[in-house]
Amino acid sequence: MTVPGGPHTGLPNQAVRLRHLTKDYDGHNGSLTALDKFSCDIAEGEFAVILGPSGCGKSTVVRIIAGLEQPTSGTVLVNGEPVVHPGKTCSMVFQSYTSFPWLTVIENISFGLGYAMAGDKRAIRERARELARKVGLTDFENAYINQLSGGMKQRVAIASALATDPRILLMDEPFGALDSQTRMAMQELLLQITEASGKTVVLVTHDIDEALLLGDRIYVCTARPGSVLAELDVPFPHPRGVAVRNLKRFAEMKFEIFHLLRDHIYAQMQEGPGGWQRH
Amino acid sequence: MAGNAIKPPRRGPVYRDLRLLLGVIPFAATAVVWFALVHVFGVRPVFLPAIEGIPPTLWDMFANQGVASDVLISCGRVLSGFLAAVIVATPVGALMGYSPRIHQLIAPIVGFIRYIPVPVFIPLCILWFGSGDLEKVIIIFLGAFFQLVLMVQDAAGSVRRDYYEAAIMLGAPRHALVFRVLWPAALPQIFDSYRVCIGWAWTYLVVAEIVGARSGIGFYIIKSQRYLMVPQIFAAMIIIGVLGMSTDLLMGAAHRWLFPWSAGGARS
Repeated sequence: MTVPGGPHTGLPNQAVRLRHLTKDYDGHNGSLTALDKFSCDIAEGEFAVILGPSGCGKSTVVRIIAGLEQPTSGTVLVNGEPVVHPGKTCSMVFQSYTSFPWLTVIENISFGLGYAMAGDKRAIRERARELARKVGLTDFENAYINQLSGGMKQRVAIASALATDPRILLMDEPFGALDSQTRMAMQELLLQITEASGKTVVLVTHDIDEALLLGDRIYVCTARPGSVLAELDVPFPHPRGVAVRNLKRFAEMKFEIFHLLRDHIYAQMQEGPGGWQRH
Repeated sequence: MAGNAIKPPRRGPVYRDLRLLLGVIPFAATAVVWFALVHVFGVRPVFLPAIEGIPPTLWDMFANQGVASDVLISCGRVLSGFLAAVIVATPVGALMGYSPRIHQLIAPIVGFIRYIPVPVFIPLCILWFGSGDLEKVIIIFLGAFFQLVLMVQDAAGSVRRDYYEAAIMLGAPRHALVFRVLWPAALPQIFDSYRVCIGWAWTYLVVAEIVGARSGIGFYIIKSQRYLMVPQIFAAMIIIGVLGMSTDLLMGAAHRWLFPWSAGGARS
């Protein structure tokens, strides 16, 4: 079982180290500062949640860890190595459904496996089936993605991401597009999977309940430009279930976090969705 | 009251029987008007021959005039020109959709040539390639290629960026982004462009066969005009229409068979 923040495997136990990350986007009519001196340390085996109001640049943080984007300034170390381009260490689950519609469920899960593991087609297929079973899609192995519900699509995405056996699983609002009941079921499934695997997870969300239910540590972010407002340790022991929502401490922490974020949410509402500064 | 409720326009398939009926109505209406023009309003046969004379004319054309070989020759030219356009336009258009630089390199010249009417190329092509099959095929190729390449580029360019990102995160190398993401993602829409393109190929065939031809269905029409064989002109038009429509139905069926996962696809 995972102990909050506890490392499981050797040195270095720092899975992700971000130092003073700043990210500016240049557009046609100005520039936008998405991140401003964003720093955090995520330990190996930790389930870290980056929580913040929408548009606070939290997606940019995981995209930078993934190597899909480069910071304007600051350093990113993953397992002690600087990130230059996407590598084998991280997998990513996106909010938009990114499983390939031209492949079946089992073919989607096998996609990354073909690059990650040496072995014949049979071995790859076996491993893919095992992952499909793990996310509860055994009966849908040969279905095409467009025949699936949103929750099932994200289960395929999670299985595909786990297939390459990454050390770090990045999740960018993976359940953001799901209805609230499906979301709860998916959170429970994710808890089971991550508790069993002991992988480092970095999850981005704007949902305080989700952060408290899943996270070992929560990085609360300011409104744009994003930086870390507070770091909170989540005290609920593993294995966890959705029942932690009923704890008094859960409700208290939820209020504390909302209290922390309140001014930033209002600031965001005043500013509106844009936030572009003219040159 | 419920019957009067305003609803958004219908989408989705029409019931099979109704579909057939709706499709047949315009053909029937055309036949009725045609019949009436000749037999009620007395339009002279030199302008409009009697509709009931068309089937015997068709029979005569195939049985005695050897039109079947003209049809085969024309089909061969259309297919050759179309396939040549597909073979060249597909990789070029796909690369244009993948890389903005390649797009910037090729799009201006394509945009320029695309607006030159195809018949303008006929005199030059006859000068360079003679007036045989090669010239006809080249005319069809020119007409189809410059349209098709931009349609393929549009299909390839509209592949969702996050599919590429997902593939990169799963460890896909660069060539896999082209062959395992762009290609399968864009192929249904590219195939739709082929379907539109083969229609143009028929148009350019007739354009090519009207000038300097000695065989083919277009040439047959010109020959019929010269001898005022008006029923034969109508019959030849019907042959081209039937061939075009069959091709289209075939391509539509192929689309559904090839891309079962593509819900939208082409509508027939």
